[in-house]
Amino acid sequence: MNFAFKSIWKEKCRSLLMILLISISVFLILRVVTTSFAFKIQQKMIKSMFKTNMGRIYRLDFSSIPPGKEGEKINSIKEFAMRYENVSVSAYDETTLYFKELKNNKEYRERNATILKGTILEDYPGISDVVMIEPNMLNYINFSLEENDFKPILIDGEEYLPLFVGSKYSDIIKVNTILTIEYNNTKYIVKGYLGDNDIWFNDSDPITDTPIKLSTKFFAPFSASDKTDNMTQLSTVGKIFINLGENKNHLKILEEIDKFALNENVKMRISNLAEFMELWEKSQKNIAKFGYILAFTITFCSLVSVIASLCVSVFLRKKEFGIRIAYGYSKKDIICSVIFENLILVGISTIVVYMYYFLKVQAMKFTTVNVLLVTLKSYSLWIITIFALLVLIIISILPIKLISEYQPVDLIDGGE
Amino acid sequence: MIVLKDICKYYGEGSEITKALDGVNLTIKKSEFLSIMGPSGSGKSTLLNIIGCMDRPTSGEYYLDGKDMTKLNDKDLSRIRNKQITFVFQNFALMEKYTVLENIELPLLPRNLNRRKRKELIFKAASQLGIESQLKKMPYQLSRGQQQRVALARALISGADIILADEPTGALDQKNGEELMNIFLKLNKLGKTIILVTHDLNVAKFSKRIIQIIDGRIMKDDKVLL
Repeated sequence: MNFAFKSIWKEKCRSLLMILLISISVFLILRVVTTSFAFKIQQKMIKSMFKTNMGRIYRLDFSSIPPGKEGEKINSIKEFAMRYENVSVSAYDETTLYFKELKNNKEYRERNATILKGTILEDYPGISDVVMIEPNMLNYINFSLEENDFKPILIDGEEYLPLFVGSKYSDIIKVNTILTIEYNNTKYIVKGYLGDNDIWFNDSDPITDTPIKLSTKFFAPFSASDKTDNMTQLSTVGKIFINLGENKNHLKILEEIDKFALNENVKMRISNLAEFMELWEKSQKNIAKFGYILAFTITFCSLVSVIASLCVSVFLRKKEFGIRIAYGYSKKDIICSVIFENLILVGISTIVVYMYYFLKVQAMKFTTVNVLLVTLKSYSLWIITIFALLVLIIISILPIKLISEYQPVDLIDGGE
Repeated sequence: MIVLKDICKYYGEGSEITKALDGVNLTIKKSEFLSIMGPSGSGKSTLLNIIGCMDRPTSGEYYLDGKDMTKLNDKDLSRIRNKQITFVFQNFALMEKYTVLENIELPLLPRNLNRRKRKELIFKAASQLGIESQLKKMPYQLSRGQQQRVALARALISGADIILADEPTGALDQKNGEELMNIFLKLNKLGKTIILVTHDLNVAKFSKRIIQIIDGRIMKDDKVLL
């Protein structure tokens, strides 16, 4: 073992070169594996957010709505759809706004300064990131809250909508605190807190983008005024779900909804969530395939270089091996020593690359669930360990074969 | 005691066979000082390698202190090379990328001695040969005579009773060569068995017995008259 470390140290340049070559392979494989498994984890996460079969849920996208009447038209389509038995239509939206009580609150601003650092909102510490939903959505979405948790609360004749606060603010915003939205004066009352593990659909796209963490957000129902506000309704485009429940004639229902929309001069696209997800998975698989091919091609080239370098090293060290055998090492000892040297090289490369990638991913500012980090700690760790062992075996085969073919007496100068 | 019975070593197959040794019978007693002489290609180095367990005979028997060496596995042979037999090579066979200390240390590494003990033994061996101040140097920084002392220190540090030297003075000038042979004489007086391969009669005369080997066979086996 001692000799292995010494050999590596004595051949610093060669060792560094091999560490570099192996590191390139490890990095490429780690990256492609992490990305493709992160996608799988993300998809699993999104699928698990649905209580019901995703094949029964459709998404509404609008390509054309009469301007100035967006709120009215979208609402009318929703109401039309809800006339069918067991059909529910709901939407969500993530928005940033000011609560009058928090905008200039020193504690809140200080907390937000830390939370928002490195994001596009870092210059607005008084702002609040709010996810608004239509509570009937929670009937088919897995979440820690239910539709009933969002019933308006009457206090002294005044109606307040319930609001839930992300766990990162739980020590500074107490339950029963009243929060008023600055732009429309809607009053909310803090009813509870969201857990560290609570997640929701991404605002950009609920299917293709990573779910968001709610620990630094607020969670509230749309207000009555939001339902008719053009901007708010436009913001929900692409995030409106129609759950057809157990209806057998769902295609007919969708046809009629589409017809109704056309009569309202609204052009829309209705896509089945399960089908959309399948298409998305297929396209991602093709991209991943290309990534794998590239990674394995470069890995192949670098491993060939490593093997060549190791074989040359064995050849150049014949005399050293012969001397060691003459003074009490067996050929098996030499082979074990060479394997151990290779293990050190592969080990250093793998650990350094993994740690570098891990720290890089960990340092990324995500408001979404860091699926890359989740993947790195699980699938990637196992796969890269197995890959490293395979690399060790592959790069050791030829040098070991060379050493085992040498006769001890051939290794030292001074034959006949 | 070393006993070789009908030792043969052949290379190649069929019509391409080369007989490096062809029926060698030899007995070497403990504390003998023996030289093996012969022209180039006569088989003397092959004989030395077989005695030193660096090579296996094609046929025949080899006993070392009563043990049949041809039946031992690689691991056992390596233990014997570490503890009972040691080598001094013609061109010193020092590891160029390692220091003098690391070269001398080599036979001690398979024994799992702690670092302190190893350093103690290294310093003792180096002092006996007057090279204790050279321990941190690289072999290329030493003179040929010093390099040979390093090689000798490495050979002696194992405490082996049998010293096999293959043309040990081949790369030395006369003065250093004589010095080396006198060291061998001293070691022999201390009870070490020394087997030397040389083509130089002046070197062989230091020993007490000279064996002439030609074409893989022992032709002469004479005692040296002092």
